[in-house]
Amino acid sequence: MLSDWKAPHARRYTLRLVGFMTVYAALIVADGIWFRSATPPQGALKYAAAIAPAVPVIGVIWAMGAFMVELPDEYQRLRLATALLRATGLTLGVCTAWGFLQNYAEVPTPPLYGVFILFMGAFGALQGVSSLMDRR
Amino acid sequence: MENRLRVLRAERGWSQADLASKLEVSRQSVNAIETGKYDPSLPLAFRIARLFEARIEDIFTEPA
Repeated sequence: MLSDWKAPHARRYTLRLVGFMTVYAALIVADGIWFRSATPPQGALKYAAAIAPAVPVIGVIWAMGAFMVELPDEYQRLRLATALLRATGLTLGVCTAWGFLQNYAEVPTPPLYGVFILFMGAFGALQGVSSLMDRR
Repeated sequence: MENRLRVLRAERGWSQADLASKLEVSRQSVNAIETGKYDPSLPLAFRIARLFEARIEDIFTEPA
């Protein structure tokens, strides 16, 4: 079950998340040091190193999908899918509105990787609301 | 769908957690089914029927 974090599928999910986030943190630190060094990467290597932190983030997205597939409880699966869809809708809506604000109201341009942070924030909040409603 | 799950469970003196454990689902699932927030899949409906030794249509009915 979703709340049973000792269940095998939940343990796998936690391990995958911790693994990907550890790799992500290591790559961010490594890139930070390398790009500010006296010999920053050049040419194709520059692009490969720049894109590297995105790979574990994509891994997190995969882990979320795998968790949903492995979740044995159908109602919990529905709840998770609903929260993911709502978070996706919210993220797309905010990004679209922000795009028009950039066009017409000269608001600043945040980095695009912030979209994933926004999505995760929305997903977490929606999961929290869903859990609270389940207790009623 | 309407259902008699709460009544059947109460007749046996089971808590929602007891029933969830017997059906191998979460307690939230049992609660959602009992309160009509969620209709179970056909395989889960069959498991419920088997557990209560009843037919699916004796437990789940269409709203009048």
